[in-house]
Amino acid sequence: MGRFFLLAGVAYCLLLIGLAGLNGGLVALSLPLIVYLGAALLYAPDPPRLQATRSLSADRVMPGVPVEVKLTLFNEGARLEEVLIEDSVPRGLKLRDGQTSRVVLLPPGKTLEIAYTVLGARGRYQFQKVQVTAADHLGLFRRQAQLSAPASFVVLPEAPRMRQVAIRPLRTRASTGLIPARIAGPGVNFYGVREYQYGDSLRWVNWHATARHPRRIFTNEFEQERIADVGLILDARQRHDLWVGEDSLFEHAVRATASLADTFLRDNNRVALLTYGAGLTWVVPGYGRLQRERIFQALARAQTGESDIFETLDYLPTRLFPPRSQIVLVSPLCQEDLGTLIRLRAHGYEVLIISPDPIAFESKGLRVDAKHAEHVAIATRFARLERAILLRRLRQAGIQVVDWPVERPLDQAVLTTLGRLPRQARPVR
Amino acid sequence: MIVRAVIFCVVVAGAAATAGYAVVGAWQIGVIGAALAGLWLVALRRGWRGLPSLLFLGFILLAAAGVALPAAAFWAPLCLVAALAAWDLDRFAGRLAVVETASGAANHAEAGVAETAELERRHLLRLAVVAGIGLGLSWAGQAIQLKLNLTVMLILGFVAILALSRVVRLLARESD
Repeated sequence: MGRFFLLAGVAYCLLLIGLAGLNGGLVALSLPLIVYLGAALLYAPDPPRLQATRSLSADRVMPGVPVEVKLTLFNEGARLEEVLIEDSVPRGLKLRDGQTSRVVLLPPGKTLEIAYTVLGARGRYQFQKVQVTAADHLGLFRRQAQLSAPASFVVLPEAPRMRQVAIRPLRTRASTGLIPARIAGPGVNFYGVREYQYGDSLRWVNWHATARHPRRIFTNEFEQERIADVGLILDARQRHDLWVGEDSLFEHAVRATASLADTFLRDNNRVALLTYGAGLTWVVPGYGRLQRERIFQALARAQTGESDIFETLDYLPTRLFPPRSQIVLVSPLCQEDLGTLIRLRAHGYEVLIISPDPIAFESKGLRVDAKHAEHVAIATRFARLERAILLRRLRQAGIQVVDWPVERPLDQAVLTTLGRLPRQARPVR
Repeated sequence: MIVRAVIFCVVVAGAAATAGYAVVGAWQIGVIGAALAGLWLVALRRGWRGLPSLLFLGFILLAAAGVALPAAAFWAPLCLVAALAAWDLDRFAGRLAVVETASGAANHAEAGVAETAELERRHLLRLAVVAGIGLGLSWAGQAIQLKLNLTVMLILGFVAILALSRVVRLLARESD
């Protein structure tokens, strides 16, 4: 419309000055502009009446897998001489192939298809509106409309495969699994020795103990292996997220949580997920593939956030987790978390912390000039000492801590810290 | 194709203004026409989007200022219409460029090129018709001498201005 006013203003001035000055030349000079304006008015577009539908090649993909978006527009209204169609791609998606905008001529009853391919990092992406701008051929008059064409897809987090994580919760569930249940019964790991009872297999008789006690026979007991309740907690507090270039510590934490969920669910455990950040996101405990999907979908949406209430772990809703179950916290940790974690342990939970090392992560990407190198080195040492003390105090409280430099595979860090399960207890695959 | 058409129109507008002033010996003002054309070509090359509107106004001023000069009946409308066409095409090229930039590199380029070519062809055709009619009317208007008394002229002027202002007001209301 700005162009129209520019031209109309110029034509108006030429006409006015020509008439006032009795100058026919100026009036004649305004005629091309008036003809131009008249032609634009004659072909001014009607409001666009288009119907938009969108289809996606997938509604859930793994990172690095492209998604094809097809937008179909059907013209239900008048002929559109020059129509600009602009599809807005959700932030975070990268256009890999194709066009998101087109300028076309769209006759009535015709269909236009816009196809393009996008790539995205972990997250949920929602397509909403399509902007349509119809203009006359000379581009003076424009009519805009926003068409609704909603669709969404999720890019699930990567979950590097892990071997079994050796956890020993205080309480297990009734079904048979792979976690030592601290109860004697059928199993493969040695648990203890008791007096022989009628019906015990002679193969289990402990001949060494029997030899020491005349007229008494002792038999070996084995530890039962069951499934357990595992509560995963992902720390999504904004202040714990660090960025080095394009790399985020939180993304490593999400991947670790996904790997752990996958591993625990593969071993038939009942797994729940709590995301603790700007608010609480809770995935109720469950088993199997469906639960894996629920957890992965929740992790795909997980974002860091700030909240005055959840700034510390004080408001961790521990009642969501069954008493004496296994809790796995994925967090870079800070000093203020110590008290809460010790209380959690005191309440009878078996706590395992997977802690992505923020100091190693940040110092990796630090660009330090020679002038400040010494100060940075001292500061890094102090930070490392502080963290080492924190981790030691947690370990002293009976909490298992995996200090994980994120450049190392998580599986390796977990194995190094927690050790392997006895050979017999490892799952056969 | 559009860029070539813009260059052609700019050169025509510049040449018309320069020649028109040069013929009557006003070289200094003629140089301004050449300078405006040169600046427009630079703006086209560098992608300065706001400048062509100013340069278009500059050409209108040059044409209006020279309307009383001998032979202005020929070159002034030509200068104005060529500048108008250049301005229009420049904006059209800009609209197409925005789409190309937004869509990035494309495997779908073939379909896009066909559509663009068709749009360009239709745009050029309609602009040629509009510019031709405008130029013809303007030349005819310069040639025809009508003797009108003051009252008729005032009435005509009033009607013209009123009509134009009503159209402007109507469109302004619609744009709200």
